[in-house]
Amino acid sequence: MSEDDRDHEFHRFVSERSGPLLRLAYLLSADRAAAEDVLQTALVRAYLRWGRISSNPEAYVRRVVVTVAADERRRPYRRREVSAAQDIDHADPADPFGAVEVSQRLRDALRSLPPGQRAAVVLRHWVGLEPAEAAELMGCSAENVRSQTARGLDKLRAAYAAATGESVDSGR
Amino acid sequence: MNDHDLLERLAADAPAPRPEYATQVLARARRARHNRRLAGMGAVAGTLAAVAVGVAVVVPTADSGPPPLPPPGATTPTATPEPTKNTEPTKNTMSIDGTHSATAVMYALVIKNVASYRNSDALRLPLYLLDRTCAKAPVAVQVERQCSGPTLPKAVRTDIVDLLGGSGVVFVTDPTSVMDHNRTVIDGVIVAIGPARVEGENAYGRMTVYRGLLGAEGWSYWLRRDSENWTVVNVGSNWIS
Repeated sequence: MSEDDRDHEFHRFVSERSGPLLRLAYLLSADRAAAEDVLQTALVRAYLRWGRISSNPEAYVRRVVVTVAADERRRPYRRREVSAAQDIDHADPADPFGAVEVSQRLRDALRSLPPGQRAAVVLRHWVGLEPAEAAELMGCSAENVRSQTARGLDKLRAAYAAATGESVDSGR
Repeated sequence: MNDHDLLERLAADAPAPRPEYATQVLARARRARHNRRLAGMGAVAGTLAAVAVGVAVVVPTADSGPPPLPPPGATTPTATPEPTKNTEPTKNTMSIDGTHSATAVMYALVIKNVASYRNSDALRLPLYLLDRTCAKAPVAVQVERQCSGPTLPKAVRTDIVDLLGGSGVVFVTDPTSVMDHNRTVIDGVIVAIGPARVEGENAYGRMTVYRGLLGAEGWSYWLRRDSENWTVVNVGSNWIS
């Protein structure tokens, strides 16, 4: 396959699949800017190996997204500094006393999950992987995935229940 | 609602890729491949340049990248959509164009704003950016005390230089390397970037513009983003020494 053909194939893949992959990156990083950076990095890495990715490029890119998201979380510059701007008024000037929305509470709950729990929940219940498949991606045991999933889901369900007064069915 | 629906609701907050996203990612990927080939041939991707006293690391600019290639399927080279480049961004907004990391766009917008508030000619002078973020809020007058934080990733640094126009923007590891014996910054300003705290659509942080004996200023910033742009909500000076 020529370079032009590979580029064409890569372009088509990104056009068609970047939406779901960006959502995956967002769920894993819980940050819109970080999600874009994670996906961009993952796609560039995939491009550099595109000729050797034979059957299922989306599965490959998904795996890279999971790895890059984990790497990004470990980077020191991504760690949140609380000292930089504690005295800055964070309230929205247009609605300073506005109610906290459900989606905001859910976002906060997702962000508050440890990266392992977040990845386990997303891979199991959003991507739809089996525990063994998620474990392979995360580099841990299937049992570990099960326990991290259960703990992460408990927190998300609790956040949803607190925001809406409704409970979440535990079935998929 | 079940667990999957709950996650779908969260996923709905994710940014949507722009229509030109694939072309922009491809352009960036080609640039990466080009750089890797150069590195493989033994060429030095970055240029080491002596800057006054000491050595500063010059991050490669966009000029070192490959010439633009036509997108796959284009019938004529003239139909190539150039990667969106912030050559002349408005003062308060910078586009998240897909060819640069969103983090780099955020920092570049702040640096550009602070530099232009500080002095309309500031961006014409060499701008020395510390390649480490500050460990804490950058309030120390001695700039070398501020460079103890984590180093910005190389990709982010490259993008910042690219977004700020390339020439005259230099990342330095040791700020004293661009000062003379009176601790005056040689023909330029040093900018220490404080770590940004991103909360949803908002980003907050501080930075310091340092001119040695000519003084220093601390700035704080508040940016907000939509899917396309980072926009300055407020950039203000906190202190001057």
